[in-house]
Amino acid sequence: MAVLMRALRLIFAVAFLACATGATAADVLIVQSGRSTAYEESVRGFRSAHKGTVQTVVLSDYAEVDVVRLVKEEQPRLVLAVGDAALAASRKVSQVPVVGLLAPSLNLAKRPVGSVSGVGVLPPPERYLELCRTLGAKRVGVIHDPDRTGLYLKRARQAANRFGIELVVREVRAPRETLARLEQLKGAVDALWMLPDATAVTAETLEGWFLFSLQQKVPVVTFSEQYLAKGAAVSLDVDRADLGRQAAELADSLLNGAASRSTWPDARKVTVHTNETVGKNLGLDLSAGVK
Amino acid sequence: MTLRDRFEVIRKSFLFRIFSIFIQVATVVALLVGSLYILTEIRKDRRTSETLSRLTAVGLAKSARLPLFSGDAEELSKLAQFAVVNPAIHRAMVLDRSGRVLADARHSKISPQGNIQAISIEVRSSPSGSSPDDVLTGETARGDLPLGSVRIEYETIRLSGHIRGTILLAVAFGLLFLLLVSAAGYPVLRREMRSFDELLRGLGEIRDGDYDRRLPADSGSELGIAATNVNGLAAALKQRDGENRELQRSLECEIQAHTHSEAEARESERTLRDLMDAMPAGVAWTDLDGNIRFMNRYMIDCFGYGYGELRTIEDWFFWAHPDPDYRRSVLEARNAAAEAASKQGADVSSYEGRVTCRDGSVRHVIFNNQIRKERIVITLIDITDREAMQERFIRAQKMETLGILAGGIAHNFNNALTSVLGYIGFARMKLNDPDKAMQLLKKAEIASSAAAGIAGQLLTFARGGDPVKAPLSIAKVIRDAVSLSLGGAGVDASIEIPPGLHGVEADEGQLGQVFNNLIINAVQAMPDGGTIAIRCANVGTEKPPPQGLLPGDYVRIALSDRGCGIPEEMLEKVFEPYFTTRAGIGSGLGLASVRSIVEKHGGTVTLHSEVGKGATFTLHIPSTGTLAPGEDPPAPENLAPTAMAGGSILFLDDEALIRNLARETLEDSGYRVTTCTHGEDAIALYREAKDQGTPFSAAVLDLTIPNGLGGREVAGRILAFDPDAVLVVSSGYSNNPVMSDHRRFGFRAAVSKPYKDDALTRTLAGLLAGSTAPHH
Repeated sequence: MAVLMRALRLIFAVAFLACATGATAADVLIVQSGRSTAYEESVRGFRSAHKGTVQTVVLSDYAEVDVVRLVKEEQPRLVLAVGDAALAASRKVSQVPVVGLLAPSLNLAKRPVGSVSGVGVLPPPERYLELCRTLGAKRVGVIHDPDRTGLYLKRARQAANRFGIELVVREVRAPRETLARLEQLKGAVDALWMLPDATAVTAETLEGWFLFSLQQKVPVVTFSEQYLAKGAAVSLDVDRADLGRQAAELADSLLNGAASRSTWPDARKVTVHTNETVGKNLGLDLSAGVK
Repeated sequence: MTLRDRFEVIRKSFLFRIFSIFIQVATVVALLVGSLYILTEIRKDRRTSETLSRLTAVGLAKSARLPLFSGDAEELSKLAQFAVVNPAIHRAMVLDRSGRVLADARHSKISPQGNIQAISIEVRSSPSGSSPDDVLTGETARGDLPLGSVRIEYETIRLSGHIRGTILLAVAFGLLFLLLVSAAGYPVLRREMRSFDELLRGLGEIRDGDYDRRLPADSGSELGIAATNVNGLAAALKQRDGENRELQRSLECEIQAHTHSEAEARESERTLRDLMDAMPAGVAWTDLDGNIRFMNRYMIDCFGYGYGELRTIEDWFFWAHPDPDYRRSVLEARNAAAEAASKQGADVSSYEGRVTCRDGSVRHVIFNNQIRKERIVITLIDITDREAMQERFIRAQKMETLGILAGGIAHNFNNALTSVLGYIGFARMKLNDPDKAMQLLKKAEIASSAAAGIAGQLLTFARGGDPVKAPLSIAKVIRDAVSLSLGGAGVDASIEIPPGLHGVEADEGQLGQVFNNLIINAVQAMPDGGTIAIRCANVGTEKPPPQGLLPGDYVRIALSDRGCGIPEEMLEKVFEPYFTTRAGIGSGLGLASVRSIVEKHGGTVTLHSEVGKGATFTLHIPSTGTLAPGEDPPAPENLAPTAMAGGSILFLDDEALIRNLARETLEDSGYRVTTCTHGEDAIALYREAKDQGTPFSAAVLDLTIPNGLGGREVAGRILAFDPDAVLVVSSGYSNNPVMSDHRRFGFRAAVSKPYKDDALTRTLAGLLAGSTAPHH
């Protein structure tokens, strides 16, 4: 029944798009993975910065969307893939450039191939390292899956030397290995850097990260404000609207031919959030110099 | 048998009691087991609750570590809310290190009712279980820091619901247990008690006399042994029963005989007591210790002391002889009498004494003490009344002797006075001029008249003669006496005559003398004046008559004065002749005459007086029981004028002086007078004169002739042969019935001696002139 409903929705979408493009074709086809707040926020940023017309398809609303066929039929000048699902669905589009937005897989694991460009979901590693140095950490523990965040950690390692920070890295291939790796880090690190690694950070292992912080009295530096309430000391949050705007700028450059199709800039605007309670518990004065 | 009686029988049955004990034991067991079960459950519940609360606290503390670490109040609230889902937990709190409450959750459906227990657990960064190295080294975990604490409050009272359930369950199981035990135990007990019931029935039948009853004796069991013993007992009882019946028959005969003897003894004792009570003497006996064991009715009534009041003979002496000195003297007399009796070998010792009765009166008593079989029998003979009677008898004898003596003297004295007065009067008639001699003669006559009055009273007292009784109104007598005796005395009289006052049968003259004397006595007692109160009343048979009077109707006259009174010791003496407290005024014969006259009328006179308060004379005179006659006594007959008369007069008197006086005065008046000394001579002279055809015109006969026929007898003889004889009686005893009722005896007139003035001549003149002469 649900499948039937989704099929009906797709038919309606195609019909709608057909009707719409019959008059004038949109410049940008936004393929949105879902209707999360983060996606909407980024898309709003994109729209605010992009002057052309856009059409949006939310994948989660349909059972299956053939983006390549859709591009053929609609003939947009650019496809904006919002989210990993949308990016995956748009990878086979070759007629027009594809710009990824809020897609962690875009430039964390390895560089994408083909005509895919996009804005990274994280700021440059230096920003995190700078933050760690501000916290007084000399040894920063990182647990990650190389298949998910190998490229980004490589960049971090390269920058760490410049900041005089030793990255103590433990790799995991499965979430269940995370707690064991955390055990290995006991007494070996001054801070813990949590990357948006879906293998290392899961709902099951999340408590282990903060218990480590609690028991070892080391702060956890994370990528989202949401983890502050769970026990993280500091988060470095990207501005999603600015990400959208940054993606719009990239899209305009691509449409104007000013940029190559393989451009992956890091997020440029971030916001630092701290948990004063955690800082107090850890004996850190987060309000002073972190921000 | 009512339902209640049947229930009582069941309740008292052995089966019921055994079953009750059985049930009680089962109840106690059930209670003990139930109580233990309840206590165990309560303790277990408490432990469970505490453990649960502690576990909750530990779990909360563990869960709250990270939220505390991160300050996630929302998460902490969720955790606290989750903790109070447990109904045993009343409140869950999470506090930070400074004690600030970060989360506070309460059970939404539970309000605290007291008895709150709390568990607080500190939340630290390291888990509660330290590493083996830390345990071995005794160091705390590295980097362990306090994050805060959790507090769990749980309410033990919340356990009461479960406890109630446990109790109800225990009670239900207990009742079920009792029910099952009772249901199972009763038939068993009943079956076991059947043999016992049969043994009891057999015992009951043996008890009721069925000694031939034999109980089934099961060998071996206790009941069988008991039945065997009971059978043996029944056989023995049967034998004893026969013996007892024989013994009972003999005992019944003995008891009957004993009962008969006892009844006779009781009857005898009752008779003895009745006799003792009927005895006119006091009888009492004591034991040898002096405890009074019996007092007869006479003793109680006479002396007024009850049997219960006097316990010992000492009590008797104390009350009967209140004066210690007199008591001592009585005891000495008693001891002396006892010693004397002992010396003489006599059983009875006697002595006299005065006993003070309960009412204060004193009785003269003779005590007789006699020792009989360990008891002292005391006989008291009251001789008070006998002594009084003896005194009265002696007094009466004395008075009689005195009366005879006084009578003789008075008679002679009166005769002499008769002559003196007669001659004085005769001489006065001869003296026509009121010269000096005439005055002296008058004085002599007055003095002689006074002497004659005294002689008259003496005669009245001495002999008085029988009163000439006639029904009369005593009120009239009293009024006459008052008007006669109170003239010019300065004393008033208050007379109370109730309507319906009975008349009396009395001699009016003597009764008048009684009241004259009493009133004169009262006047003399009140020289400064006053009021004499005289109250009359009927005294009927319904009231007991005063002492000394026979039962009957009386008129009581109480005459009271407010004079100086009479001392108690003189109360009896005032009635004795010649006793007077007013020498020179009274003759001493007034009150003696009063008593003499009243007693001759069948009455009494008593005197009550207190010094300074006056005196009251109370007279009781037999009444007729009817109203007094209303007519007055006949008016006095007119005196005939004295005139010269003719005729022959026979004059009888034993006194020569009087005969001579009569001869001279009568002859002086023209009569022919023949005198004689003896009655027989008078009769002979009268008969002779009549036979000769010259009968006497009249005959004056002295009533009293010593040693011979008196006037009354002489008159009777003369009237026998001359019914028309004119006879005049003459006597110094003016109150003699013949004098007062002379007509009944055939006399035409009566003349009292001494003759006043010309009384005799005037009387004779009146008779011989054809008119009836008055008596005087």
